[in-house]
Amino acid sequence: MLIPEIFERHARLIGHECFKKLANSSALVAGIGGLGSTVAQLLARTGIGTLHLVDFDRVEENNLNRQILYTRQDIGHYKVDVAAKRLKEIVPHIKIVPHRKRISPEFALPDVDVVVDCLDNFSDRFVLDMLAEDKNIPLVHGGVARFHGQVTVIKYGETQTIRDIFEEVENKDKISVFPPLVTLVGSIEASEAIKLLCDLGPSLVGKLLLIDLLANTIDTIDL
Amino acid sequence: MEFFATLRLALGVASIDFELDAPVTIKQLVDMASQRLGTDISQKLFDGDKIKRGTMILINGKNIHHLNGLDTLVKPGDRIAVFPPAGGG
Repeated sequence: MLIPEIFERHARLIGHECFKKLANSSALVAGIGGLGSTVAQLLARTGIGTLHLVDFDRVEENNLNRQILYTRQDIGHYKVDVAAKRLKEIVPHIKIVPHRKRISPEFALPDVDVVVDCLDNFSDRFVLDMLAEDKNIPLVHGGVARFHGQVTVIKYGETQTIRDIFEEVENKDKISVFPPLVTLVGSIEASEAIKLLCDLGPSLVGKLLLIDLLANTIDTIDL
Repeated sequence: MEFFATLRLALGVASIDFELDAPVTIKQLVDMASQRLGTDISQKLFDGDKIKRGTMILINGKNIHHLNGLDTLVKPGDRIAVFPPAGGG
């Protein structure tokens, strides 16, 4: 398999087999806001073959502090449309499937290899969790608030679900969040998705990673 | 009992070990932690007799909502994790 020049600096690092697997894999990124901007971009730049992007929102000025796929010129445009265009500019051969929709019980989850949860509220996450569980597609979860965040990887039938872990949590709207935290948590989600697809290294399956950038702490809890 | 993220910063302690002669409830354990720290941490974690919705308490990785809530018994060897879940994206 010929390695495109864009991937030269990491293809050997992750290995030929992993690179080939990624090229033949598909991921769905639910929510292309702060976390999703980073996750989609890193999956594309690492060499994933197909990306499904799901978001119903348009770019707003107050997104630009942390949603690193967008610029001032994109304000007012649908995020999935802008993201698809930008990702294709970076990696022309990637296949992008935009879904200008909200995650709901009616959403027809495509048969992807991994779902990455980059949503901004727990109600929608619980729906995504049910959709992924129905199709038995592994899910990488990330969440951020203020200076702290968490990441875990769900394998249905093997681990607890998102509903199990986060039952009864508060569903806050318009959460303040520290921009560097968002890209950090998004980067860890992308890394876990890649590791899951390639079966690389110890993963966060059945573990909850907790990060606090104000306290400078990273901890892992067994779930 | 382990505290994570902002709770750890607010309380100034990462974890507290308790020696238990007999099982106690989560509520009792939080009271014991308050005594140990010299500050009433139940105000940070509870809303009356319920867990604050911005707080999660896991016993050995299981949310206490699936067990017996604040009346869940803690046994010697159990690990209790307390942290604020992050819902934004």
